[in-house]
Amino acid sequence: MRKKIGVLFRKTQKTAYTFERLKACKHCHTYHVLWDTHCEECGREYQPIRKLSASVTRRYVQTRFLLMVLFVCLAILCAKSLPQILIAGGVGILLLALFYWMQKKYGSYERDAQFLPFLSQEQDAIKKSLVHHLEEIGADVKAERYKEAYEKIREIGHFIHSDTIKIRKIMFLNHFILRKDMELELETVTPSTYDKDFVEYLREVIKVQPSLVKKSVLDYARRYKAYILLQENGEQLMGQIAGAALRMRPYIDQYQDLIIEFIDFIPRDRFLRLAKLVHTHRHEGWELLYAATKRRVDAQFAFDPDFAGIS
Amino acid sequence: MISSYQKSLWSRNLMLVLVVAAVIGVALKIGWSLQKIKLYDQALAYYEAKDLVKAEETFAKANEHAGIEYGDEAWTTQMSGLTDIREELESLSRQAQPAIKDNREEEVLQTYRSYQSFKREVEGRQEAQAATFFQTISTRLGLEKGWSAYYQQAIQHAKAQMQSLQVSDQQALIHTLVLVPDEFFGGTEKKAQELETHFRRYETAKLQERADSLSFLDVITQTAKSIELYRQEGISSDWLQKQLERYAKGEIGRVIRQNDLPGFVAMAKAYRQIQNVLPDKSEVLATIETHLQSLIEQAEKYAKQHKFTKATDLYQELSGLLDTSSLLAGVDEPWTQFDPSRLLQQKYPDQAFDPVFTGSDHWGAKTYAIGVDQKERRIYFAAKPTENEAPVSFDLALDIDTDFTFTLSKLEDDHDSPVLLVSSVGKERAYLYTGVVPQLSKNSFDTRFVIEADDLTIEDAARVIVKNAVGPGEHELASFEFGRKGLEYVAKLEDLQPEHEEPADPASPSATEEEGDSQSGQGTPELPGAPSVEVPHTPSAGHSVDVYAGPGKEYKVIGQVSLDSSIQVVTDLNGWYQIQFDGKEGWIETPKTAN
Ligand SMILES: [Zn+2]
Repeated sequence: MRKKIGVLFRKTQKTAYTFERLKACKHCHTYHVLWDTHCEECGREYQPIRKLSASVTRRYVQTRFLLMVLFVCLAILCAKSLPQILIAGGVGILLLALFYWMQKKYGSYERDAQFLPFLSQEQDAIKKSLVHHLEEIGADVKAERYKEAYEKIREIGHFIHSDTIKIRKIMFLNHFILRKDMELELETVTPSTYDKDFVEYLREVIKVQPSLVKKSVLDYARRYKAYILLQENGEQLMGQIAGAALRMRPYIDQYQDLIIEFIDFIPRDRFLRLAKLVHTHRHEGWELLYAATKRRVDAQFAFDPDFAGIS
Repeated sequence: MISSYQKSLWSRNLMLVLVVAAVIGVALKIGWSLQKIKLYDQALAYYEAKDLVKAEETFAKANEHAGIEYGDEAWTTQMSGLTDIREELESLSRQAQPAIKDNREEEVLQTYRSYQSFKREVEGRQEAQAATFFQTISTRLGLEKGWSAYYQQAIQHAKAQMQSLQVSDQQALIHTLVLVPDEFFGGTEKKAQELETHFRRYETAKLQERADSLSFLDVITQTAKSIELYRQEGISSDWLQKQLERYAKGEIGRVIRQNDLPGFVAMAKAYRQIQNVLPDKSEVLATIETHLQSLIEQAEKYAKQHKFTKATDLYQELSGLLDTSSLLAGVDEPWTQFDPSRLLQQKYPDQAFDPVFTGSDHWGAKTYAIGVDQKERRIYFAAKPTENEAPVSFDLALDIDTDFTFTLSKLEDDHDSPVLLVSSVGKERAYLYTGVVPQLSKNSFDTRFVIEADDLTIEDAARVIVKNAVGPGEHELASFEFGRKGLEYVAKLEDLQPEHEEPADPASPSATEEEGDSQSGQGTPELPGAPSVEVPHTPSAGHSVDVYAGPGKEYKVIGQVSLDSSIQVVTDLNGWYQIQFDGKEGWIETPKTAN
C-alpha cells in the first residue's frame, strides 16, 4: 500500500453550464478552463466565452450597419441632382434609424442564437487548449505534483467524460487521504468497465461519505459484483454499498436483489435503518426483503434492545 | 488559424475604412454641388445684367465642378456653346502666339485659317449673342491684331528686300509672300497681281545685274533656280522664262556668229541642263539643235573629203553635247581604209617607220600596213582582217646586221599572198635574200626562204632567176621555183665565168624599186609623220597635168588640175601623188623637181 498524503483541494467553481467554465484569450486565440485569470502567453486577461461571443456578434451587427452606411453614401455619390441627394440621404438616415431600433429590441436574441454556431466554430481551438492542459497534467505527474494534477483533471473532467480521464482521476485520488470536507466525487469517476483502483477508491469513499453512492455506482456494483467479491473483504464492501443504497426508497426498490444478497454484510446501523423502514412501511414487492430482514434480525439481533419490537 | 473574433474585427475595420472614404466622397460631392449652385446662380445674375463675358466665365467655373446637374437646360446649352467658343479661341491663341513669335509661317497660316473658318462657322450660326461673344473674346485675346501685324510686317520686309535686290533667301521670301492670306492684299486677284509685279520687277533687275557681272552658266543656273522656286510655289513665271530665253538667245547667237565652238558647246550644254524650267518650245534649244545639226553635217562633209582629222576633231569638240562615239567610229572606218598606216600608228604610236607599205586584200587582210625600222632591223605588220574584226599586229626581227631593202615581190605564196623580199648584204655573195610572208592566223611572219646570191630576178608568181647562188646553181644563172619548201633549184640557164667580176650595175635598190613598183598595186610608201604635204610650186607652173584614177598611166584620166593652184596631197607612191580633186581622189605624176 502506498503512502497516502493529506491534501486540501482548492475550491472549484460552481456554474450553471459547463461552457461557463471556458475562458478565452482574444489575442492568442487559446482557451483556458483552470483557475488562471491571465493568459500565460501574453498576460492579457481571460474573457468568459459568452462575452467573447457577444462581442463577435456585436461586430457583425456593426459591420452590417457600416455596410448600410456605405450603400447610402454610394446612393448619394450616384445622385445626379440636388433632390436626388436629399432623397438618398433622407431614406438612408431613416433606414439606419430603423436598423438601430431593431437592434436595440431584438439584438439579444441574435446574441443567443449566434452563441451555438460560435461554439462549434471554436471547437477545434477549445480541443487544442484542453489537449494543452492534459500535457501540463502529464508534466505534473512526472514531477509527482498529484494535487495540481488532480485539480486540473477535475476541471477538464467537466468537458471530457472518458474512462481515461476517470481512471486517471482515480489514480490521483488514491494518493490522497480522503476526508468528508473534500468535495469528493464518485459518480463522475465511475468508469464504464471494471477497474480495481476505482473499487479501492469506492471502499474509501463509502467510509468517509456514503451519501455519494448513487445510481450509477450501484449499477456498477451490481454489474461487476463477481469481480468485487474476488477482492479482499469483497462481501463487506458489497454490504457497505447495499447499505448506502438504503438511503432512498427508489434505490431500495431497484436494488432489492443486491440488498437481500448481501443483507448479512450490511453494517449494523444501516441494517437497523432497514429494519425500521421495513417495519413501518408495508410495500408491495418487498416480501423477500421482509423475509430476509426478519431472518437476519432473528438470527443476529433477537436480543438487541434496538431491534425490540421491530420484527 | 484565424479566430472568428479576429475575422469579425477585420471585416468591421475594413468596412469602417470604406465608409470613411465614402463619407469623405459624399462630403466633397455635397461641397462641390453647393459651390456649383452658387456659381451658376451668380452666372445667371451676370447674364441677366447683360454681362455675357462674366456670365460665361462664372458659368465655366461652375461647370468645372462635376457632380450634379443643375439649372435650366436650354440656358446651360447656350452657355456651354459660349464656353466652347472661348476655349477654341484660347487654344488658337496659344498656338498662334508662339508661332508668330518664332516666325513659323506655316503654323501661323494654319492657325489663321482655322480662326477664319471658325469665325465663319460661328457667324453662320445666326446667333447674335455667339457672334458678339466671339468678337469680344477675339479682341480680348488680340488674335486678329496679332496676325495683321505679323503679315503686314512680313510683306514690308519682303518688299524692302526685293527693292534693294538684297534677298538673302529667295525661297523663304517667295514662300512667305505666297503664304500671306489674300485678305492682306485686298483679295485673291489683287494679291496675284501685286506679287507678280513685285517678282517681275525684282527678277528683271536681278537678271540684268547677273548678266552684267556673272558668267553665262551662273546667270542661267541662278535664273533657272528662280523659275523653279516660283513653280514650286505655284506662281506662273512665263515672263521670267521669256526673259531668260531672250538673254540666252543673245549670248548663244553671239558665240555662233563668232564661230566660238568650245563656247557654243559649253553654253549649249549648260542651257540644255536647265531644260526643265524652259518653255516647251524653247526657241534657244531649237537654235542649238539647228546649229549642232549643221556642225555634224560639216563634220560629215570633212569625212567625205577625207579630212578625217578635222572631222574627228570636230566630233570630239561636240562630244560634250551628244554621244559622238558612233559618229567617230563611222569616221574611223573609212579613214583606216583610206590610210592603213594608221593601223601601225595606233599599235605602235611611238615608233617611226620608214618606209611604210600599205595596201588591201593581201594575206587575208582587208587592209594592212607594213612598217620598216632600219635601225632596229625589224619589220612590223598591222592589219584589219575584215571591217568588223579587231586589228591584228605582229613584228619580226630580221636575222641580219646590215642595212636592207624591203619590197613586196611578185612571188606568191598563195593567191593574194605575195612574198615580202628583204635584200641585204651577203657574206659570200653580194646579197642575202630573205622571203617572208605574214601569217594572220598565226600572228607572226613566216620565213619562206633565205638565199645568198649575186642577183635575184623574179619572173612571175613562182619563178625566180638566181645568179651565182650559194649551193645549187653556183656559178650559174639558174632558174628556181618557189613552192611549199621555199626556193628550189630547177635548171641551169647559163654558165657564169667564175672569176668574172660582177659589175655593181644591177644595183639592188633600183631592182627592188622596180619590182616593188610593178607589184605593189596600191601599196604606198608614206612620208612618215606627214600624211599630206603641199605640192611645191614648180618652174613648169602654169600648165595643167592629167589626173588619173590610180597611180599609173594605165588608169583612166578623170580630169585635169592646174599646178598653179595649191593642191592638197594626201600621200605619195612611187612617183605618184594622191590628191584631193573636186572632192574626189585622184593621182598625178610627181613633178620632177618634187622628188
Ligand atoms: Zn494570450
